[in-house]
Amino acid sequence: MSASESSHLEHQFDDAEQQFGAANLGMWIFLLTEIMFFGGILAAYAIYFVTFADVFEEASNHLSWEMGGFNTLVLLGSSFTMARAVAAAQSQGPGAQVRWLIGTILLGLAFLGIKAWEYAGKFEDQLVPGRNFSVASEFAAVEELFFSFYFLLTGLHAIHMVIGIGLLGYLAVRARMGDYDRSYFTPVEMAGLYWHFVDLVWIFLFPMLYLLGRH
Amino acid sequence: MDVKPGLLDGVPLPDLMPEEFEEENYLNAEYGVRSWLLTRDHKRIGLLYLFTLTGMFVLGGLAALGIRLELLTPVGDLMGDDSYNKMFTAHGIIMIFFFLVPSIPAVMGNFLLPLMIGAKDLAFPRLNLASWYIYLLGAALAMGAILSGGVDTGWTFYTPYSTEGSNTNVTMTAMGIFVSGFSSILTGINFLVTIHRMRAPGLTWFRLPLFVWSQYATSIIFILGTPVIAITILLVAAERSLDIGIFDPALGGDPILFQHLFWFYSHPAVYIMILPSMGVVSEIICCFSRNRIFGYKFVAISSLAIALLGFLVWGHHMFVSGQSTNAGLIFSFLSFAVAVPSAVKVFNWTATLYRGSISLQAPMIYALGFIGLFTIGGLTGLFLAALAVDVHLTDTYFIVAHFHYIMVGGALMAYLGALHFWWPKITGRLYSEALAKVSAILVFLGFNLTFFPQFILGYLGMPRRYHVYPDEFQVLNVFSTAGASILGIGYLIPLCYLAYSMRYGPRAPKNPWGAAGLEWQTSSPPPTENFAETPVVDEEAYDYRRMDEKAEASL
Amino acid sequence: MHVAPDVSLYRNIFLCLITLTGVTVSIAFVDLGPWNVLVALTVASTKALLVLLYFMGLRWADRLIRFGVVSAVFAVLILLGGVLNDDFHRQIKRFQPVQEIRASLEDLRVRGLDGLPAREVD
Repeated sequence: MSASESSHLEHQFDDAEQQFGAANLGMWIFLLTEIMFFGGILAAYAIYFVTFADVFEEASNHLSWEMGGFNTLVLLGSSFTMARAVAAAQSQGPGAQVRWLIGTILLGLAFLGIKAWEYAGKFEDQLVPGRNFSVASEFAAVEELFFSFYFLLTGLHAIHMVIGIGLLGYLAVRARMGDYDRSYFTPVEMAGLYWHFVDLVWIFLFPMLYLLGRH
Repeated sequence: MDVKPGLLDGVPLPDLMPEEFEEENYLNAEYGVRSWLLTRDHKRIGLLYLFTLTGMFVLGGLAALGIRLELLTPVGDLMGDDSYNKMFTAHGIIMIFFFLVPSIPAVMGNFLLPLMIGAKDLAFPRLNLASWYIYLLGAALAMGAILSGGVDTGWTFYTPYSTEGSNTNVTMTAMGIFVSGFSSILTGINFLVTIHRMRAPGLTWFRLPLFVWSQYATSIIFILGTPVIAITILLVAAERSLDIGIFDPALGGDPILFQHLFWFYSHPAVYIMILPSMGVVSEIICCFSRNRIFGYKFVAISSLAIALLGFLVWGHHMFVSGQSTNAGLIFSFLSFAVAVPSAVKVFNWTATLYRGSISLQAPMIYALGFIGLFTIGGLTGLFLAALAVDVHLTDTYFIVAHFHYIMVGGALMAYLGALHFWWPKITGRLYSEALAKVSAILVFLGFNLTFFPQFILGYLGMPRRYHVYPDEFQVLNVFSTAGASILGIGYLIPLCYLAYSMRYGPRAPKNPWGAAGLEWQTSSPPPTENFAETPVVDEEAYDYRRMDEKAEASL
Repeated sequence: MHVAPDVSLYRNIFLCLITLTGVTVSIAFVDLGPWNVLVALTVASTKALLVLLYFMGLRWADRLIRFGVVSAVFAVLILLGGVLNDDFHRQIKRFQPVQEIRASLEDLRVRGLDGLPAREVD
């Protein structure tokens, strides 16, 4: 009926608590590598911002803060539903677990949908570096630099979201089969850490890309 | 008469003749290709890495052969400029990313870590296997790029040449390196979690073998450093393939920013390559001088100090590339500082040898060679850390000699020493000690003949990465190539006798060296589960005096 | 292993995050000069901290994990600091007043030395 601890215990661990502690520490250390990964490119972006602040501000005005802002709310909502999903995995039944997981997935897909719409708009507006870029500005080159970062940062973020959605889909299937309960919900909690982290990155991306020079 | 328990030269121990192993161990527990390619056993994965890395080393060595043959003459007669550029780029990329960075952690760390801490396996065995496959994928991509046209940017990929100037397989090589970075990251995660969460009862931090401390420090660098090279390489690949210019000066991009990002990882990377070797040397020195390490805590903490300080010095690779003098001053000062923990280790190893009962088996020869050659390499690093001296010596053969003293005279010798020291444990066989001693000495002599002339060449002004040089440099280059031939032979011989010993070597007992450490408490080779019962530790590490007294008393 | 926080905490944190998002958007439209960037980063960091501490459970996590997060952030700051320090001391034209940069860029353009494709005369 309920998943028993021992059926999930791997042979290299002494007990379930050690196994969970290992999984938790492992996921956090992986997230540290993600901090360094996004931190690296964000640092590069920040350095160029210091250099070209006014041009970056001008370029940022080409982005739709409304879409970015709405997407931020969507993603924050998905973190909320994810947190509820982890709590459900621990203290509620498969029904609730699946509902909260699907909710998270739907919000994630909504985010990606809006992102795709934004990207399409960029093609129309001739704001795609290297492919179709043209702005009426004496610093067009630097604006192209800004948009290079825009696509790289949001693109990398989107790839992480796609992976996250895939993970959550898998968890939803397992949850429906009743695999998670109070004694074993590690995969859901670990996926939760990953999902919140992806939200965290966007929390920085939104103001740093969309809200420059709006005054 | 003092008693030295351990391996008697070349004499097979009685009752344990070659051929079959009686008990089940990790090698004979399961047979067949699938049992190897789908294994979760950290010991088998270590061996998988051993075979792949040996292959990569041979490829990198062939590139080195090409370089040294070309440099026999001052003109470009064996190959043209572009081919030479591709040759040294291939050598650097293969040796650094696909041999040295994984080497000791992936082979010895994977094999030994659980054994040394009394665990049954690493924390995440499937991730461990994935790590190997990811490495293979990265290596395949990079080798594909190298063999199908090559890359000529140098392993450092400086922009804007790598992003705009070069018309070679930069993107594919970059992707290979990017992928293999994940292999390192997974290994780092596995090691950190294992060391934190799976130590045997009684095994407190300051009772750990120093090899474990060195793997811990190395793993920190894997975690914090590798993602930065990953994103940097990705940016270069994006710029090349998608025309998204981050380092493109025409868009306001800054090539120096590339160098900052690149070296932010690549300097700590050199500590990834040397820290595990230092751990190996600590193990070997203690065993073959029958002494406890002098200043255990200092040596342990110095590994952490090197890892941490190593993140603060990357600018010393950029003194003449356009970096500001102010930054140069800061990085120069910090580079002097990072030498201190390394020096602490050298002093403590030397003090460990003092009044020890020293026996010069092959692992010990490698370890002693390490101490001498690493010291020279490290000291020349201090010369280079001085700004004014660096202006003269940078981008010359002095630099080439400096890092080869550390990487080949240091890291590679320690890798060989580790292979020999733990060979009985890994394979359950003894190798030919006589041949091993001869090879170790050949390696040492060949190495010095190869690289010492390069210090002189560099000081006299021969630039690196050039294959056409003034005539007056030829003599030293010929010495260097001669040395390289001897070095090559020195590497080939162990390949032969180690492979031979796997089938025909005498059977090894549990602890042929009489060494301290949990890995020696289990059979050679160990059973799949490592220990019949989880060991409990109540002694300090390296308690050789007490061990030897007990052995003597029981006779 | 661990106690599940009660879900009203999640709801409250979520509402804080929404509010802070509103704050950051509103302030972006107010001219605070150079302070805009600092305020934006501070608000973002606060939101990040809320997610880290409460959604990701860092508040109740091992000291080791908290130390790890701080170390990684620190490492990024070292990279940022090192490069910014170098850029500042390189005295490249970037840190000159914008008017001067525009003037020198315009000068290069007129002389055809700016490396950009020729602009059409309008």
